[in-house]
Amino acid sequence: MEKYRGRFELLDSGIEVRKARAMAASSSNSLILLVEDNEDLGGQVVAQLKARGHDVVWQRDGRSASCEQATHYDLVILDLRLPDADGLDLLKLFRRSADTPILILSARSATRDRVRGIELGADDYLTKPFWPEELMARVEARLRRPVLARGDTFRFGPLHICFSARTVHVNDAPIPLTAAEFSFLATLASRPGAAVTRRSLVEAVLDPEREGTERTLDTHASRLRHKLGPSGSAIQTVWGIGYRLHIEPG
Amino acid sequence: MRTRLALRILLLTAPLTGLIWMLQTTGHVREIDRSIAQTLRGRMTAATLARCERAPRIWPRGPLPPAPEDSGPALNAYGLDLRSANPAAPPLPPPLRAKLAALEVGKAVGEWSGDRTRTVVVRTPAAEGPCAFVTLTRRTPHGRGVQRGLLLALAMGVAVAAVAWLAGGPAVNRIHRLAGAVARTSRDPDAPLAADGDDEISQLAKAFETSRRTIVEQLHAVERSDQALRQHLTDTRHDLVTPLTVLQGHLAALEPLLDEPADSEQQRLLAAAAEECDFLARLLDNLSATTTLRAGDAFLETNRFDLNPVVERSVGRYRRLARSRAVGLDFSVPPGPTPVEGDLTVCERAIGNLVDNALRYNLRGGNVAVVLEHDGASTFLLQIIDDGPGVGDATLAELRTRGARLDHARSRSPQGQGLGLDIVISVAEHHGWSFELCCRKPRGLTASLAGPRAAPGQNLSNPGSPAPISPRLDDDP
Repeated sequence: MEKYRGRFELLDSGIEVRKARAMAASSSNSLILLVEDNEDLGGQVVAQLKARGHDVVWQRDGRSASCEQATHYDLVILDLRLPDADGLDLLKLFRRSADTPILILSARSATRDRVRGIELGADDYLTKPFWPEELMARVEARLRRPVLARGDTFRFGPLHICFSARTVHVNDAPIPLTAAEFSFLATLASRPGAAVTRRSLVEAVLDPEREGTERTLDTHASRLRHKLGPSGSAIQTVWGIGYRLHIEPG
Repeated sequence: MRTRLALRILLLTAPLTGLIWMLQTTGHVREIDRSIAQTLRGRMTAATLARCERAPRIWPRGPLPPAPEDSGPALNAYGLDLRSANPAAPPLPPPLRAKLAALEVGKAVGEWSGDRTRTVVVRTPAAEGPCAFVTLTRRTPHGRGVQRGLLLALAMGVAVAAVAWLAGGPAVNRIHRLAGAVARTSRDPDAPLAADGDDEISQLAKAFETSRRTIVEQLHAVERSDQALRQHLTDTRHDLVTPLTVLQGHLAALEPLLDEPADSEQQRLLAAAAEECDFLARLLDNLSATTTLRAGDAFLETNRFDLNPVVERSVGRYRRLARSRAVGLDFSVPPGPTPVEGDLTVCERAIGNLVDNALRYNLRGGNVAVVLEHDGASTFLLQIIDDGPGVGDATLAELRTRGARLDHARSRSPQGQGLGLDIVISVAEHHGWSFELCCRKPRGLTASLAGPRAAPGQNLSNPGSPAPISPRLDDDP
């Protein structure tokens, strides 16, 4: 029966693959290929990914995984230690045909293994042990489309910033800001979601000819929040660092 | 060595040759004196003595020994006053006069009366009168020969030294070659030393070769032992981490299923179990990093990598711990990359340990910030800031030294080994970074790592973050 088991699994996974692709095609879910031989760990990862709305195809060995086309997936999660193959060989195989992001899971923590994986084309390397939320954060980071300031403008919800014209609109209503207040908001908007240090803000916002301290920044932040109304809550104070323009991921 | 040997031989041979020459010359002179004295005694019969005393002014008369061509009669007579009645007789030389006072009858004494003339005096039986002493002066074929002796000694010394210098050449060259071969073994211990022949130098070479083989065998044994230990540690870690990951997955899945308040016993037990998993995970990582650091340059990698994603990953790894302890955790990195050169894994471990410490030794409701900045044109500054209870000055000084053990109030457990900070200090030393721990006002600690940024332009060996990660609102304390 053992010799047939592999065939049935391959057939089963083929059905699973076709089902998963069909579901992904009909929805906006991401389709993720998981290559992991450990039943417990693989089962956990699949459950966690599905709980976050992703569709998953799970291959348990190198032979099955080598039949996959990485181009069919939005992300590949690849364990390096497989019973019948070296995960790095699979990595090379996937990378030859696709630019799909590949996240490596490995028990090997040595620098040379990590660097080797990156050199062969992996986009990220997560060493075991890890908590599920760490893996999910890495997965989301690889799947998320970057929310960056595109060209001359930044839009987030009702907030619209035009950098060249130095104008700010909330729900299409213009918001009059001082030069320092605009510089403050523009600096945060150029790196949405990232915490920006007080020092960086002082350099970008305050006039070097006039005396201004980090307390001055707090004043600008307070006034800006007031002027932006409800959208002003997006300007968060980050303890020990400075400020952030908070945006929802996704 | 050859020259020193030759000079030593010269310094020994020359005086030795001179000494031998002096001894030989002294013996020769004694023989001359004895011969002359014997001739004199034979000649000074009673009749000859009577003739001398009768006509001392013209004595000697009769056949004389062959005289040299230089002036002065060879045979002369002198009185007790050491003067000769014969006006043609030369005066006695002062060294000879000094010896005549105690000369017994029939005895003879000799002295050089010129470079090549020897005068021998015999005490006659005449108790007084003009013929108390009779001298015979004879020219010797070689004379005193002082100058000749010195030249002979020097020539002998130089000749022997030259022979020694030439003869010692091959031996000294072999010693030089042996020294060079021994020096090469310090660079390549596995290269054998050639040891042919049976002489002392060959025996020395064989002794060196035996020592080399012994040392190489011991080195290889130590390397094998180290490698086995490292492999054992790697294998142990490898076997533990997957089950530990599964265990963490189960605990994470259990958490939302416990419909209990946060301060309930079940939640507390769950949190405690999660912390134990975290401790095991960090212990495995720290043991692995310690092994690498203690092995030194042979196992530390040097790559160019970007510190920005390292900071981001380190913070991401500790978000769960921060949430479970109700401590705020955030980070900031520069907009551009922060390239550095070093071992990516141990650097990430060091940063992780600082974040871990800042979280563990904080209070509920506290905050931790990880801030990476470009400091000037060529350095970076990484600060891990917390507003925890901080430590006293004595403990702070202790923490700054390698191998520090935390006091009981702050130690996680009686098994606390101070591995975390030890790794930070070791990493800083290996990479040429500075590490500082300072107290913050009004409370808390700031741990700072600073070092050089690598030159821009070359590829980095770790991927950058695809997009800044914004913490979820529910992560805020």
